[in-house]
Amino acid sequence: MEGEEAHFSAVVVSGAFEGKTRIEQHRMIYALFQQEMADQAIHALALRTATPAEWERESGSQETR
Amino acid sequence: MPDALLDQIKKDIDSSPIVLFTKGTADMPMCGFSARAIAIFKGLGRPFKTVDILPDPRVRQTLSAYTNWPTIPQIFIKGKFIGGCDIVTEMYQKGELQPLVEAAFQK
Repeated sequence: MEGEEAHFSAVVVSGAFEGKTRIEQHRMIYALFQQEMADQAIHALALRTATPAEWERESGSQETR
Repeated sequence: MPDALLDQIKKDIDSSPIVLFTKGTADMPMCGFSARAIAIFKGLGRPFKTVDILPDPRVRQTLSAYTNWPTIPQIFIKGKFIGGCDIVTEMYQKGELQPLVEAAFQK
């Protein structure tokens, strides 16, 4: 997770996302930060979510870390 | 929640095959995330409607309560909630958004 001035971006890879739509996956993360977002402590939270299998498939072709 | 406002929002959602609730307008977005979503749909070359949520703060509150989605923009295709800026960006990059948009304009 990284960011400045209350703008954050996060990549979340979790097995809990299996079988869930992207909308549901993003809602799960927003729910964790509900208070901070309501208080505007987090003004923006850019999300990228993936299951471990998706992440392995995609990171293999796109990124090297 | 004022019902008249929710009714208006539902009407807006159904008023066009593609509807974006944004901060600012298509010509003058007031937020980078709204601007990115607008740019994607402009690039797809199909008409879309934007609803500026900034003039009346109750619109955003009512919309977010209705969709259970805390952020703006919010994108609807054929009346169905698609997600926010990150989701449409990812769908666009993966080639999933284009067919959905085309299907929305099939008779």
